[in-house]
Amino acid sequence: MKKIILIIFIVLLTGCYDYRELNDIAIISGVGISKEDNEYKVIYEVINTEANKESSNDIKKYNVTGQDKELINAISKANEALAKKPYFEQIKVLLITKDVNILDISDYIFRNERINTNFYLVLCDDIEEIFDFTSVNEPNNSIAISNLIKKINYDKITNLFDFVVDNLIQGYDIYLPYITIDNELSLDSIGIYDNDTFIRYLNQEEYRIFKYLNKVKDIPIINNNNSIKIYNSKLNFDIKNNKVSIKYNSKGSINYLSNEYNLRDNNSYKEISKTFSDTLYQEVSNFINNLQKDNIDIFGITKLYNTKYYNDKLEFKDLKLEYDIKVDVDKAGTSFKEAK
Amino acid sequence: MISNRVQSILAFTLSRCLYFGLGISFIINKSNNISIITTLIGFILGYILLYFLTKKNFYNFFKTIPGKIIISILALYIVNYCAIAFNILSSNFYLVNTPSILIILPFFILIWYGVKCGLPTISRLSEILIIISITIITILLITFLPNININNFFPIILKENNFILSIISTTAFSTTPIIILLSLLKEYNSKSILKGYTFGCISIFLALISIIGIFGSNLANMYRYPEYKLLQQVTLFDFLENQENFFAVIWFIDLLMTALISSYAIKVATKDKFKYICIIFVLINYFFFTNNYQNSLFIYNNTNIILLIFLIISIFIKKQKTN
Repeated sequence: MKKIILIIFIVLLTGCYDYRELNDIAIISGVGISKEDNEYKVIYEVINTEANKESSNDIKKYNVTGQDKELINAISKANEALAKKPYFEQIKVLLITKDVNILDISDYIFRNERINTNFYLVLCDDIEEIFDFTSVNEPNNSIAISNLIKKINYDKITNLFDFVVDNLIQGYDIYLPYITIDNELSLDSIGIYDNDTFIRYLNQEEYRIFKYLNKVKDIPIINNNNSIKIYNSKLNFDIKNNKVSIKYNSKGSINYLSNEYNLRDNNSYKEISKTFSDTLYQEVSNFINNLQKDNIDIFGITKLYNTKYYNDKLEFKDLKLEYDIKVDVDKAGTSFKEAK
Repeated sequence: MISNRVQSILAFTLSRCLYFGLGISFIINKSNNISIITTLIGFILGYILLYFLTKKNFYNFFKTIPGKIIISILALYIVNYCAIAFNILSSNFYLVNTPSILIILPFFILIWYGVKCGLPTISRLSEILIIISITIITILLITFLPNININNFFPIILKENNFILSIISTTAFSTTPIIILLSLLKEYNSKSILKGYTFGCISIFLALISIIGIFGSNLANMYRYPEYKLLQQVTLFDFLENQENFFAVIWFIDLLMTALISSYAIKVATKDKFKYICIIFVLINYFFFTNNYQNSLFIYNNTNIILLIFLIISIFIKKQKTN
């Protein structure tokens, strides 16, 4: 009797019924959704599991496409274009173009239990171009984009798809990384949204400041031919007396100096720190004030404010902002004097 | 007679079992981000209630005809819930293409075999499985705590009706299944039962803190299984991802142990008729619940009330005679 029970368990409890060979499934590493002529275009980047890892001639990935007026039909067509059963558990990124409404596509993705939603939403202009690109660094473009995201410190849990959609549902503004091809795949900027409406991409200057605030390391700050890089930073929003104090505390090390400073003297560090604090104060306050004029709150300040004063329900443009920016330069590298 | 340690372990699993797919989702739905307050009050209320319940003689009550009927109905209800939850967990996240009957049948065979082996075997099994459970819970806590955002617990807005309902439901979910364990034991150690209950409640409380602290009440409310979604966020050492299928074993352990204890109670009450009840029950469970979403939704919406009725009945049971 025990043996019979054991056989039943072995057959049924080991999941034989759902058994699939690795070569029988199409592992989708990235999905792209764009809108062209009022039609959804869905592209999958699929890992070629039959490719030989060591052979450079073997195709490591391939793309399939589906297009239709309805998203669900476009997805079905893309699925049908696959010779194998689609496997959505390993998606790294979901590429979208700026004309795709995130909330329109989110319900299907949210509801489908076979899609692991632990991926990042990424903006781009031409999804086909991105997926067709052959990178020398990483054969799979979705993985390459995911690695770039980690570099800009965007790989926080709260930037995952579910959380972005949740912010949109609650009426908050979001930002998404923007990927382009510049000889290689590169994250050139971020796209900012006023709730679910795409507004614009940050320009290079704004993106640099965004990276300071997002704790990206080793981004240079330049002031009169002197330069430092931030190696440690912390951004806090202190809400008191109906005011928001934006506190940015960072530690910097000197990149290069053209002015004469005696770095054996502690006062020189204080002087450099003050100079760069002032520079950063100007840059950060201008950046956030410009966003405030457009009423776009990519840092979730309004959410924090309205959580604290939940009867107020103010908009970002109505908030009173104060800045407390400190850069503490405490590393000079291996040189005490400028090499000139 | 089972040891004090096993009593604690069984109380631990029984106090947790109704939270997967039901308790956590239900409480968050009723009280949003103040769930952590309502559950805390609910657990304390449950502790006080359980303290008085452990003074009563459920074993003698279980020997009487009304006792057998009441405890058996409660046990059947909980086994039914366990089978539904087991099926949901398996069919939604593991065996998508497998028919439900092939999922619940091995579950019932396993329970039938466990019940046939008796309480000592169930106790030994619980001692083995608890090690896995505690190890996983510890790993999960270490992973979740750094991702908790304090702001997700605010603002605290109290809605009186839901606040009270949420407290009562928490008490019912965590306390009522333990009545089955009390009915099976001739002598039990109150301290061990209460210790197991306390640890069970703490683990659920921490799970709730993690869910609301990470997702926020809005997102947690959108998910049908927030506790499973939470497991999807586990990343160990920056490279071990997508381990949710492994970590979900803690819920399987709770469901299995609870189903075993409850089924054993049914066997004690029904004796020779147990096998017939088993067959009828599997058919009812399959055709009316696992294969019918509306009926399982009835379980989702009304379990708190049903358990509360059993809890109120248990309050009127006579006290244990002290020597």
